Amino acid sequence: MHVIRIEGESEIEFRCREDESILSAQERLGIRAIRVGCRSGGCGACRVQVTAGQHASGPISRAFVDAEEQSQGFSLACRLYPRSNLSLKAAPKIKAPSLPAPTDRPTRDDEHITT
Amino acid sequence: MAMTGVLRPGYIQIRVLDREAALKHYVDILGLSVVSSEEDGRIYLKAWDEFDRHSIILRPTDNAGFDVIGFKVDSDASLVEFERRIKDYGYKVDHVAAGEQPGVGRRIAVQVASGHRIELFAEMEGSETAPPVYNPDIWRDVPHGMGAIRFDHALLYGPNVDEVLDFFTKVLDFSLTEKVELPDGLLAIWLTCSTKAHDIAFVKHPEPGKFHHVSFFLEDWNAVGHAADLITRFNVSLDIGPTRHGITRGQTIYFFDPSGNRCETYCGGTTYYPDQPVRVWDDKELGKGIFYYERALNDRFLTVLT
Repeated sequence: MHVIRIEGESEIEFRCREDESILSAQERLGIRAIRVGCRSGGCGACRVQVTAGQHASGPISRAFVDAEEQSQGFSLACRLYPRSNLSLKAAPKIKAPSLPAPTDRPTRDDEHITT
Repeated sequence: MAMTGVLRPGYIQIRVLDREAALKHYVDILGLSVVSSEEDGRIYLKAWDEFDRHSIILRPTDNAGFDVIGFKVDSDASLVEFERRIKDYGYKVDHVAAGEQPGVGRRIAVQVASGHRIELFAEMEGSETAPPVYNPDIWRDVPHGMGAIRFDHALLYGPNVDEVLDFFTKVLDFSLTEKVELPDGLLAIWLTCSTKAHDIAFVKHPEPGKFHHVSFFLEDWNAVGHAADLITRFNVSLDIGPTRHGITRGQTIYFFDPSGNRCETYCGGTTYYPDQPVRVWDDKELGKGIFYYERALNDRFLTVLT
């Protein structure tokens, strides 16, 4: 087990096995420091930058982390496996989503029976 | 109205990062069968109840997502006619020679305003493992995994959804079955070329050519439950479900392939006839429209794409 430290406004630490991705350990422990997307290297939601420590990686979409960025420590947390204690920070390339804001009152054909 | 012109979704080509992991997902979990692996790396698969040679094409590369969806038309004469109509609309038509995909005749292709490549074809070889047709048993080989019955539809994300709607309805004779209208305009459209609730759908998104999901048809709600059992048993990355959509009324579960491409297995859904009005959703009840049981907008479902 290695200690994973997520840098940020409120610093978080948790433990992760070598055969478990950092994103998977975070999810299993109910921590929400890194955004969870497809968990499979394809969507880029969990893009991070490793600032210290050794790690192994699995296949990831080059649309989100090219070879040069990977050499600078960028990766996707769902495909990142610790080989020592690690420090990393969230580094999203895609903006956090903006969902349409719900308005106050439902409207349907049968509006008269809504409460 | 008899079904003419564009008949149905025929194939979809999806980019995958890891060939072996993808095969395990689409064959062992979803229940498809491999038809052939070609020298260019592409793998051709089919579901058990499909008559044509293949429906799902996996292309291993270093970037996940959508390459192309192909719709089958009723005849070569329709290909000629659609080419004329596409050109009259002002779009460029690309030609793909017969045999570029094994067993498939000539294709025409167009890039629509959302940035997606849409192809039309009239001919595909029949499958060697096609469903029986003479005093037919319910299936030839016992379905395995989730038992996906057929490739059903896809949902794509990109800009210019108004223009996509105009093109699909005016040029390809699709019908709009359902839509989401927000105060700032059209957000999403469900389009059919048949009597299904949708054969293809689009959601407005700034980046062109993005892929939301490929969907496979299942028999019933129990089959969706069985799919959920497999997802947990084999630690497949779950998105959401089992649940139901208000939009289309489909009963569904969403999960990701090992490259992050979203898959859906679903059953049910409304039936469309050309005399029906369009169902309309707005921002007041969109949560219920998207997931009828959860009744809340879901960040990951709406915004995680390949």
